[in-house]
Amino acid sequence: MEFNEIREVTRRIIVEVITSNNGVDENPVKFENEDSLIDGGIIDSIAAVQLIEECMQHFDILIHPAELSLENFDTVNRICQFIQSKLVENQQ
Amino acid sequence: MNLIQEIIQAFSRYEGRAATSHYVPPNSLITLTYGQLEERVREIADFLLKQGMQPGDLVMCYMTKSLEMVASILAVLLTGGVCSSFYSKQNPQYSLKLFSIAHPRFLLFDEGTLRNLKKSVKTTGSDNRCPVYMEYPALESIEIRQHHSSKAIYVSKYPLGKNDSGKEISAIAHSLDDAAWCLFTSGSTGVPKGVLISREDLLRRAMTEIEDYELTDQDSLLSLLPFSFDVGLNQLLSCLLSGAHLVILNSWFPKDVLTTIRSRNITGISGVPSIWAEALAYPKEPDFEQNTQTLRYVTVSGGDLAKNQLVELRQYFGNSKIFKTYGQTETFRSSMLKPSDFERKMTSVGRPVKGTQIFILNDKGEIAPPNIEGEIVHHGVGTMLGYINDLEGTNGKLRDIVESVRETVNEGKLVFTGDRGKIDEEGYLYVLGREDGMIKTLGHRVYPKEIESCILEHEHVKNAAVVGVRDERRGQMIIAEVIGNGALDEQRLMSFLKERLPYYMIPGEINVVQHLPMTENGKIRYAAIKEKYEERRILQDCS
Repeated sequence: MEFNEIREVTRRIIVEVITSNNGVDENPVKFENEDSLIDGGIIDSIAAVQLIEECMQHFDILIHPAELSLENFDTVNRICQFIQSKLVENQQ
Repeated sequence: MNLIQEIIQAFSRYEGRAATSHYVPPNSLITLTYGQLEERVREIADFLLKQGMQPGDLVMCYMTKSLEMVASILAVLLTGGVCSSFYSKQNPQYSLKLFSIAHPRFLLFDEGTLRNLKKSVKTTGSDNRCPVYMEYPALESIEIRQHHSSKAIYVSKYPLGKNDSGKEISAIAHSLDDAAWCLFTSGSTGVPKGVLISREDLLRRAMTEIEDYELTDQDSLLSLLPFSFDVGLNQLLSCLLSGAHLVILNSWFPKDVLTTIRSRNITGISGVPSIWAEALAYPKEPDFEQNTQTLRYVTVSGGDLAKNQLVELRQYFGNSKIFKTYGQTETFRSSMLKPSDFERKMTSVGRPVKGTQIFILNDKGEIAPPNIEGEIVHHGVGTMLGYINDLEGTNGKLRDIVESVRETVNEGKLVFTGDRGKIDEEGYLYVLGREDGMIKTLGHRVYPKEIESCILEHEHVKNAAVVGVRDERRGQMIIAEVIGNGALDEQRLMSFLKERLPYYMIPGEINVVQHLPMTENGKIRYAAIKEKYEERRILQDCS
């Protein structure tokens, strides 16, 4: 899967998670691909766990508890890099 | 000395030492010394004064937890204002609702929260359905204050003398003079309430924590909880007043927590049950003991863990002390289970903290004998001044001393917590559950916690919530929502419960779910679960 495609899906999942936590908003929260999501206060750790579960399901990957960290999940780009590396692992 | 004097003294006493850091693992760390923190605090305070801020003005900090937020909070306290912070990830509509309840004179933002709010003000303004929000268009005339870092603090001023609920405000206006803080609690009705805390009480709470956790300027405390939560706020204040170092981490991932303990030499963590439940699910690394050797203590606050989880936590942090605390936003900390009592009394929440008294009152207002349940009533340190702009709510929760307790206490007010509990012969308090969460089923009174702790003993269960839903045959039917680890089978869990619980505690329904609705402090939102099933019942009745 192309990086851009992963990113598109991931962004959609993030918006869904925020919406399910915040309720429906006519103008969904805006965030850039390099914005800090968890440390910067766009989503909290509880929503982050939800986000990761959705990613696991959608991309059919397994994420171990030891891999859950700001280093892997704090920005859209980092999440996507992580997912991509997992997909590569799956193929091997 | 008062709170402000104590803070100023801490600034100069610990001048060159680290006061607070913002850590983003693995390698981003910004630190302010007490001296640098004072500089920033004074700068913001001067700015607020120039804007016309006066003692007793309410200032709401709508910010993500950061060094800027710490400085802003202290600046408000230093200028004699009443500070209020609320959860930054709260949805903007809810934030606006809080503004309209509390009527702050000033709002402090950071870039993220301002962006969030501006967007929302525009939304509500355009369709005109929520006229009350339109009272805050001052966002256009925002004053911008640039700071040393790239993050800015924005101030919005709400004009004086424009309160629309005038009468109620004047009725409790006296309390704003003594007040230092306003914390929001969601309340059982779902309408948020602003809990006012006095300057004196805020200082006493911090001093008690310093004594109980034996804090010194050698400590480095990990800040995981929001400052809009009393436990997180008190950790901040007690940390600064003792000259310790507060390390802010905006992540509850066990790996990040462990990395921070190791690399920042953390000595104490104030935590809530869901943080520890996550940690217990995280396999211990082989060098765990080595990596956490600085950790003196952890706390379980703002809720409880099931007994088997407490046993596991004891094993997990074998070299650290565990403190359990119990309280409400309206009472702060009623009781504490000290580490020395942990093994023997782990299912209790300990004994009253210094300066507080706890009573168990029965339906007639009499003191219940040992081991007999009743309502938990709090007196002493931690007692709120009242709810902001809500006299009726204040009078319901905060009542005059009743005859039955007059022998022990005769001054101040009693907080009727709405929690059910009992005290054993040795004076240890056991919390059974919320009065309004109690399930009446098949002629018995059942507390969700009793069933939940049994469900949590099952090896494939990660979390569980139990509610009672109206049912014609039983009175109420017990429904359990359970998060499993993938291998959970509902039928097997049902048999497991039948072997361990009396018949009237067996859920009528067990549903395996992916998520439980949670508050920002990691508490389960029972009302939301209950509502879902009540709605379903109504739909079924109609069809």
